[in-house]
Amino acid sequence: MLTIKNLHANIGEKEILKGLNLQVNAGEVHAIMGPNGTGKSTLASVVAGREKFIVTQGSITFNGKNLFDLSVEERAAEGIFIGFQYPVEIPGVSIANFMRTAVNEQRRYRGLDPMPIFEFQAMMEEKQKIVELTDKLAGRSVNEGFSGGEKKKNEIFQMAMLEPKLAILDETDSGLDIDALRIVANGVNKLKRPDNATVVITHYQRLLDYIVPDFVHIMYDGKIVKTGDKTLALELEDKGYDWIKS
Amino acid sequence: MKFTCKIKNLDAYLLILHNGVFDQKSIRHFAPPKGVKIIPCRDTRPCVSTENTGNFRIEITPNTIVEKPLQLINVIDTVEPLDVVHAFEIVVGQGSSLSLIHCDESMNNVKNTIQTNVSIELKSHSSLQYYNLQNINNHSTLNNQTEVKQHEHSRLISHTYTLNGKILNKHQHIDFTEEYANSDVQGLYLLDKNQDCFHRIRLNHNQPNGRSNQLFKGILDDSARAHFEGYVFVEKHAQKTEALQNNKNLLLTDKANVQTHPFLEIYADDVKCSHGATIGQLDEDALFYSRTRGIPEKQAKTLLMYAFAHDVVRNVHLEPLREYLENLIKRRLNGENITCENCVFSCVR
Repeated sequence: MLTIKNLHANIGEKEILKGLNLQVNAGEVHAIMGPNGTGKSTLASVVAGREKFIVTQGSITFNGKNLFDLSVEERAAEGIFIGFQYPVEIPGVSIANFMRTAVNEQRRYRGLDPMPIFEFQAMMEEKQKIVELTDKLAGRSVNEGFSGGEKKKNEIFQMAMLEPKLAILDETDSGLDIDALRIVANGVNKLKRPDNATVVITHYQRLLDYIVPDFVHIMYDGKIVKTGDKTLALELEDKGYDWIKS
Repeated sequence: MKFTCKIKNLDAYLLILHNGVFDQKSIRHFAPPKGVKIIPCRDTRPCVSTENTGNFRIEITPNTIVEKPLQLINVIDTVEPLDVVHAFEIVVGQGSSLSLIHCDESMNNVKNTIQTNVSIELKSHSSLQYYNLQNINNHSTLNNQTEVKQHEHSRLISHTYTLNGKILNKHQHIDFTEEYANSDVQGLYLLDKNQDCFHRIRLNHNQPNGRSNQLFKGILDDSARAHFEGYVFVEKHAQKTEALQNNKNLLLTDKANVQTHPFLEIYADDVKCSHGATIGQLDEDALFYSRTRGIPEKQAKTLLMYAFAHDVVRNVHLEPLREYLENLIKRRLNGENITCENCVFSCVR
């Protein structure tokens, strides 16, 4: 599904990603772990298409398409979803309006008619249950005045609405208390299907108690330096990141 | 001649001026509700003493709640360029309330200068919602002068919308002549091409315990220009005054120009006053975030601009009017020409 080969990316003059390789197939859950400043979030941004990161070498293909040929919105419509570490507040845009625009624009890209309003409302109701958000959600402005936990739940809710093929969740566990963490993780698990894939980027092993990965990658200095199964996360928790650095 | 202004679902009492002159037929057909008097100035003490029959006074007798809004339309269709002048006075009696929608509407492309003088007096415990819209053609100039006198516990909600016209001068002067007066003064301007808009607001807190809130927002495209001057004056004995002012602008091009001048003159020492002025571009992070959800850049920009503008429109209390404005703003932000040139949505003959 997603194939990243020898990816190098800069911000300004500084090289952040230094030859990263990653293969994600349908039905898989991957975890990317690693210390601060090793380029985990940069990876998510480059896949999303953020302009301030300049790709200098390497390739990313998604379901056979060259990602660099696609705009940010086209990547989304192709089925890539990014869950942000710091979701942006958009005052004045209600979640219902935001999601309806997003759903229908993605449908337009795929050559489908807009979703009928009643169907959309039913879908909103159904999907917000996944992350235990209340009915009042629809009328609220996107992330405005949301608590840290609500913002992350809202990310997973949007993921549920957009039904992506690939979700990259960047530090979705940061700033969550244990209850919110459980809800967010359960949401991700409920959305898991044989034809989609999830990449979770995290600092801590604790998220992986809830979202069980098929693969764990350790990232350091702009590259993936070690790949294993879920036991690698436990080993890392035990030995610390210095173990990787040495 | 019959005009109807197409604000969908708005059930209003309609008063028509034709090129600034009172349409006698309109007033004859106008059956004012109980407690509402429309008095042409020549029949009464001079409000603005001219021969112009467009001058008149609206009086709301004490303790009258006027249920339906009053809609006043100045229809402009002169053949030659002319100065179109009209003036009116509103007196809302003690304990009474009124909603007034006032629009100046061009029916053709003749370059006019439209002068509107509005004088408002709010007696104690009265309230007025005053919505000032204009839909003049993009060659014409509008000079709009509004003066308000507010007595004890009176409440003013004033909205002014600027979407069309070449040069638009809007001056509002509000005096709190007694205690506990309360004012929300808001405005929205969406300008493009070489439109030029000037707001000058003067809010005098002459008495204690007054509250005022100014909110003016603007979006400027092409080489449009806007100027905002907001004076807030707090007298020495006007203690416990609360006065807020905010002017926010979005500039979409390098050529668009905004000047914003807050002036606060405060002589009392126990007050809560604040002002803010911003001039900026669309939030890049919000734009990127929207795009990662699959919303194309153009639509994402429109969505964010609409949200910016809606901050003002959401405070419109009359639902049909709010919906009308929401639709108008959406269309304007999508680049549609919404002047009366085609008369699609506006006044039809």
